[in-house]
Amino acid sequence: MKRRSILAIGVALLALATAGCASDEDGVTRVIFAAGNDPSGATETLVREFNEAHPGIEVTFQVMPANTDTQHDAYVTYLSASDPGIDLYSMDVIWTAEFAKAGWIQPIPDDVLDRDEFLDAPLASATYDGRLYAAPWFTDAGVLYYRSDLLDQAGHDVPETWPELRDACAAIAGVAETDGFLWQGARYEGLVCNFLEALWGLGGSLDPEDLAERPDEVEDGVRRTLEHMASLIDDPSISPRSVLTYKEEDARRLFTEGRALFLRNWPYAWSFAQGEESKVRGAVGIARLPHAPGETSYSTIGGWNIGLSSYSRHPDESLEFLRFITNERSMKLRAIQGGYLPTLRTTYADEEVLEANPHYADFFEVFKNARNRPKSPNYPRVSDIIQENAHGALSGEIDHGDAAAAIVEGLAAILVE
Amino acid sequence: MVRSHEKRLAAWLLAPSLVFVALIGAFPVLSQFVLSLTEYNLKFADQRGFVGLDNFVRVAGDAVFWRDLWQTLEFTVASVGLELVLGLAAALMLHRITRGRGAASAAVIMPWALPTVVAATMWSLMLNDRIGLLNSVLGQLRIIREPIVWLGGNLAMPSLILADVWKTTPFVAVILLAGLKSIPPQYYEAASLDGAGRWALFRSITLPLLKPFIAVALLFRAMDAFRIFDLVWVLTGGASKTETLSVYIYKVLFRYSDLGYGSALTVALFGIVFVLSLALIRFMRIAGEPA
Repeated sequence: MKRRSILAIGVALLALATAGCASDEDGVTRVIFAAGNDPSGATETLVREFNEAHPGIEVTFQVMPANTDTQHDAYVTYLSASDPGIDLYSMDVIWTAEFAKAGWIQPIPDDVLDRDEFLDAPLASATYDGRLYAAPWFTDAGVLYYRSDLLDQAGHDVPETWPELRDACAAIAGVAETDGFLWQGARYEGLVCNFLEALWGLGGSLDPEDLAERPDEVEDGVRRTLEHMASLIDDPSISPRSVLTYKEEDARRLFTEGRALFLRNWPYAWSFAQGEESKVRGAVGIARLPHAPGETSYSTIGGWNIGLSSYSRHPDESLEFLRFITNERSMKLRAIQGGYLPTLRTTYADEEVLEANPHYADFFEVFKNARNRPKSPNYPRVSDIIQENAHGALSGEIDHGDAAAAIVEGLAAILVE
Repeated sequence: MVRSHEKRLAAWLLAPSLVFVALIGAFPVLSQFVLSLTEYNLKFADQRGFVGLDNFVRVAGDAVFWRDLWQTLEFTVASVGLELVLGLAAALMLHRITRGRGAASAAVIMPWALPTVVAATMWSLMLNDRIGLLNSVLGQLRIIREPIVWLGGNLAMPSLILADVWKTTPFVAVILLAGLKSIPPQYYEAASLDGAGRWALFRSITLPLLKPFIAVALLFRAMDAFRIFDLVWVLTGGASKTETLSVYIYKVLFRYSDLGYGSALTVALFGIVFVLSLALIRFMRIAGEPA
């Protein structure tokens, strides 16, 4: 008797568990869209608007953990199990190759987005093997923040090249007690972005074609980049040694505390610099990152794209929502309300957007010269090779030449087919 | 005598928990062993296959594995050694004081009660070279002129050890305090009557009777320290020669999605911790025997 009732409870629990699975019995198609939290509420507003306008579709915005790596690991777990539970995934720009190669996301049909309307670098970040695998959602790129008050005081122009930045730091070192130039040198993804910006700005490259055809030239560029970055640290008036332990927020905090002349960071730091708690409010400007004389400034692109799961049961409805969330109006709302940088060119010329974010005009200039990190399904490995060798070289643990050789050899093995 | 139907009932009652233990304990461990014999990367699932001991051959020749094993050992020996010495000192102090023992115990146990990630984040702020507490205090005391970069270069590993010692010394102290309380005070009285000094009391009574407790603390701490992940991840990310085996395994398993090789590394770590624990348990048995 007792045993039978225990069995009954077990069966009941099992039934409950299976009943949890969604069904489309009421004629409404459910689409699940997974992305990190949007504290501004703009994304939720848009989802609600879409649902009201489309009675047959109900989109649910599933909020994922804020940490990028945690999100990545969660998605990999779902997708490697062919889980149909999520239709649309928001993806860091460096995941495209990995997800596409594994067959986890499907190409976006040509009629969903008008490619000409999007910025080049975000569009390239969503492309793998010549096909578009995701819709660019919002973007990011490294910029140079400077203290306009201190530069004025020293009578110095905003630097465009590395020698000019050195001069400005030296000029300020005598006047104010601040660090010169802060950036992100801890061993993590941010170092890769800083490293690539320095490399490109010195005329170097890590493109697969160059790795295959001109490995010596590439290695020379990598070595010169490491030497250049080390020279910033070796000069106490430019970068303190501790940048090798700094991530975005460590450097940003010091800058908005008024303790540095220059800062390399992402656009998000702007609202902190102009916020209530900032000590440098109204005394900050943004410019393109410095480059070597005779070369061009480049920024590493960050940001997020939205991909369609290969296991989605409702691809058509999902694409309908994708079209909506990346249209002009959605980009505008998210830019004004949430400060998310649009991937559509025209949004940067929109009067209302510029009224809310006057600095977007400057960012647009930076974004025109944004470049992508190397593309590979093995990107985490690519990143770790750069991180380990660059950090080792800058810390003085590895010889610069050896580190450059290790980077070129390691990357060539992964990137060159 | 237990009647047979009672025995059967007992078996039925135990069955669910046994199944449970098998599911959450034995199954994952076994599947890890099986995975370690395969090539299996989530990204290239079509290339999945049995490869025998290939992964272990790769582990044996993996310079990163050996480097990280060495660094893990360095961390374990230094942190657990310091924790034992400081934990014993703290336990002796707590055992002696009579007034305010509750408050003192609470103060000592505090760091242990914090989640490691919280403690690590706190330390990363305190050790920050520009705005950190440590440099600011040292600067104001005029001990240092230039800020010290604690989390980079050669100081990174000692800083990690410092944070770990701060965090887990309380654990050792509590175990040893329990040991001290178990020693009958009469032993000390008798020895004192025979004219034994403080040092003699400590060497001949306290230490021998405390040995089993020291062994337990050592076993738990050494196993924990050997698998350290969170502290390293938050404070240095494995930079400046601080990458431990767990950090490397995390990268292979989750960043590279390489389940086959990652499992082989895990099995290797499991083997090392297993042997280490057996050695410590042996030591504990010897220590447990009356001196």
